[in-house]
Amino acid sequence: MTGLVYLADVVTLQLDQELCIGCGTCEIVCPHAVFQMTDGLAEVRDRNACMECGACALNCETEAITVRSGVGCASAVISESLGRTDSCCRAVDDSTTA
Amino acid sequence: MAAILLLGGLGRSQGYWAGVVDHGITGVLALAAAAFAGTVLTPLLLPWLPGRAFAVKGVVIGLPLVLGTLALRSPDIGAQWKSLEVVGWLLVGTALAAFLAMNFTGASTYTSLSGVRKEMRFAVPLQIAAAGVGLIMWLGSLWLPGGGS
Repeated sequence: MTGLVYLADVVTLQLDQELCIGCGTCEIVCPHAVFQMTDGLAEVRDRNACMECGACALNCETEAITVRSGVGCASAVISESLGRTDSCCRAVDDSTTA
Repeated sequence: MAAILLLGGLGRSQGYWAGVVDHGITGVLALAAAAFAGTVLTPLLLPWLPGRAFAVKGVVIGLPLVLGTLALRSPDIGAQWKSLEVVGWLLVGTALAAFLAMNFTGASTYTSLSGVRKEMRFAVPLQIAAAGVGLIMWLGSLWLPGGGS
């Protein structure tokens, strides 16, 4: 944790607690400690710390977590808006988009 | 930068090369200050610069640095054409610093794709507008009384 926080209220992270089985994997894999386990279920502790890396959604067994993941990179967004599909820097990685 | 340097001499009554030395170098110094602010100072001072958006951080450091550079370069800022040239370069330089700073979103460990998209939606049109208006002001300063001298 660096303590640095980016723009507030923008991330696409969604947690459906109905589907959560309390395995705790999201809490382990999240690099920014966004989740915490409360009464055996995952809970979003610090939503604005999310960098949309997609690790939680990728590792969630029951697909209780969804996030539109990708790299928060201005040049990738520019490449994308210019329609450059051959660029190595892409804004959205479809393989981890849940 | 080379193009700005060479363009600086055009239409000046003092002669082409004297224009390059005076106006061309002013532009190049403004751009160099902006590049330094955006690519070196912004990442170096990232946690201490105010504003969450990287483009805002770039403006916060870029604007005073470009202004300081221009003030050192053009102490006779009072003349109308001169102030147009200075404000023009201030706009271009600040826009450049903001754009370069914004590109460090990809190198940081805490920016999100949704956040970068939101930042770019307001920052990129402003950067393009500021740079465009700034360049027009610089070129326009040629036609004001004294501007060609």
